[in-house]
Amino acid sequence: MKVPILRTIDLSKTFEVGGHKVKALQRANLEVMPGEFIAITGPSGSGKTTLLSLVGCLDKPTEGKIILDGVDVTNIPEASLYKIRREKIGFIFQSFNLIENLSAIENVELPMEFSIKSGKQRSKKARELLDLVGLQEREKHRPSQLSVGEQQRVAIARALANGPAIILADEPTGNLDSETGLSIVKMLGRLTTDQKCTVMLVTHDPRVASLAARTLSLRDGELLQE
Amino acid sequence: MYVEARAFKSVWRRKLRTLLVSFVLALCVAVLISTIAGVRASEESTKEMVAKAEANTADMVAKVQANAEEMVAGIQASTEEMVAGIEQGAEETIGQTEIMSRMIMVSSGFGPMRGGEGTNLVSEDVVDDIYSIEGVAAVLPSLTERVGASSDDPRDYDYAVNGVLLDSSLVEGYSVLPSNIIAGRQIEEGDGAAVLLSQDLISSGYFQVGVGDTITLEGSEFEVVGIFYSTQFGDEKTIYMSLENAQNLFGEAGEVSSLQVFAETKDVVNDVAEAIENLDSSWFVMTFEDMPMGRFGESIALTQEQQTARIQEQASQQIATIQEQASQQIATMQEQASQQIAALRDDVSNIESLGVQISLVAGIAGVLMIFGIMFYTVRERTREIGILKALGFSNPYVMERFMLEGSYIGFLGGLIGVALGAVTCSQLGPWLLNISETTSVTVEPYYVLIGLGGAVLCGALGSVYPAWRASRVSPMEALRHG
Repeated sequence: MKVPILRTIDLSKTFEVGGHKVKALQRANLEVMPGEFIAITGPSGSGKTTLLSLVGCLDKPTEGKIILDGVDVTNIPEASLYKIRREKIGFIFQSFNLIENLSAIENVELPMEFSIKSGKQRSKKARELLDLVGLQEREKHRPSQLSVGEQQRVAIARALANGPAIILADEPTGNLDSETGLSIVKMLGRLTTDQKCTVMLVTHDPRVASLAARTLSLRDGELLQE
Repeated sequence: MYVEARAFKSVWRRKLRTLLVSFVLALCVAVLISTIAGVRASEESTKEMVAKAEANTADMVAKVQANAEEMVAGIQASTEEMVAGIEQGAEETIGQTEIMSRMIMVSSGFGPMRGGEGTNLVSEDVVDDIYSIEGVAAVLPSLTERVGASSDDPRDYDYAVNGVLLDSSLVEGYSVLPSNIIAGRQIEEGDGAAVLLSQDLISSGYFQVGVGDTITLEGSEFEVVGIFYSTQFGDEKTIYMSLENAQNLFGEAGEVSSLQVFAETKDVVNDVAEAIENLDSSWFVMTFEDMPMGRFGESIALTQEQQTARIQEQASQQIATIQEQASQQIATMQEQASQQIAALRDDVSNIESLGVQISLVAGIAGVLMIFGIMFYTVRERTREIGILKALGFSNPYVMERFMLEGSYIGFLGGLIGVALGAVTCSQLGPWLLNISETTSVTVEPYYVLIGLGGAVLCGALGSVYPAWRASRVSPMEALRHG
């Protein structure tokens, strides 16, 4: 019997904004199986990014549990969550979030600093990942020297650096044109089949969501089951 | 070394900002090094000056002590000489008593000295008449004049001039001249205008001369060939010269005020005295027995004792005075030297204190500057911090990264500052510390370590809070940051 790679139990997040409490996420129950390509859709402000942040251990839930790759990460102290992020999660952001003063290959090597001690091995693996995303010729280029699509592909390669349990992509096509965006999403889809990655993608674009194997909707912080 | 390389790259990516901050930090380092160099130079200079002052003082003290010892030795030697002279003089005088018992004093007035009523001169021609008397062995004429006498009191005069025959062979074993010469020599035949001066006339201050000097008597100049110490009553204020010089000085050529006649033996003294009286009944003729000097020999020992005691007491007082003055002088010199040294030490203490203050200000300025720039850098790179945290970099890593960046800036500032300090310390140090520009200010090798170490420390300290803030940034909020 397969164990879910990610499971949330009554996951909730409430923000206090100007004295008011805003329930960004309410009792979200989710299971993601290994190798699954899942899309979370919803309008702006529905809680998609909040869900991703909680699952990605970038924020702490107000209530509920998160079990990631068999580890209950809910009560792990903030100061120790970095290990979970490093070993189990790969992030892809809407605005790519590459380090400007590093080249493409250096950006991909960055997460491997603690997992691979040898610089040569890091470089080798980084090249392989850039090759995977089709950027082997551009490894020395800085982000400002790459197109938006290429930057996002570098971000994908970086997300794969430590062989994460799950890749979390927050609006990965948000800053791309439709064609580039679709190619990125297809690439993410191929990762689930070729690399046996689990990809959880958040988008407001139904066309992007349609490329995923499973789609869930968020409305006003509530996760609607399909 | 990954984090160190990453930190260095981040710093070097912002070259202009890094160089500007480093240069300002370099100024702080240059000030620090110049201050340290200036303080050390002042300390060395002061040490030298103190050593010099102490050496000079010791020199001067030694000289004063040596001078005092020399003077004391001189006084002691002089005293011994005088005492020996007195003893010799007394012995000679006592020895002369035997000869004196054959002496007959002849004068035309009361006493042998001129002055007072009834004192007349006697023609020198009578010498031949007296020589013709049987039993006369020698006749010694003399002319004695009291100068400055105001009354008939024989003790009230300034000085007495005693003109005598300088031929000491006339009476064997006897000389009318004083024998205890304490300076110079005896007056002799052929000396010309020369005198023998009593020590009492010098010590009383009447004459301020020494052997070889010239004194003026009654308008005529005489050379002082010797100084004697008086052991005879009435001799204390006497100046001896040749009979001829005395006669010429007072315009009494061929005349004398007294004659000392020596009989061949003691047995014929009375006969000779009677024969002299028969020559001129107006003369005063006294044998030795008639004179108060008949008890001369008894009084000599007492006089000698008194005079020796007096001389020794005077010498002791002089020595005590010299030693007292030397002690005071030494105490004064040592006090002045102490004050000078204390002032020098105060000065250097003030300079050290000022140096500490300047160094503190420079250090604080450096720390604040790094703090400011790193605080701004953290804010500027908030998103990057969020990315690093999202990628799995820990809080301590983030803090270490930014502290390293601050330290690198500090190190660069330190390198520039050390070079700048080495070049400018000779001018900057004296200007900052308000010390003389002639003070030799140089940079020692270990100042380089202090400068570099201080700069790196400023960088690290200045980065602590900004780096800590960076480590506490929420990745979620950081990623949302502009």
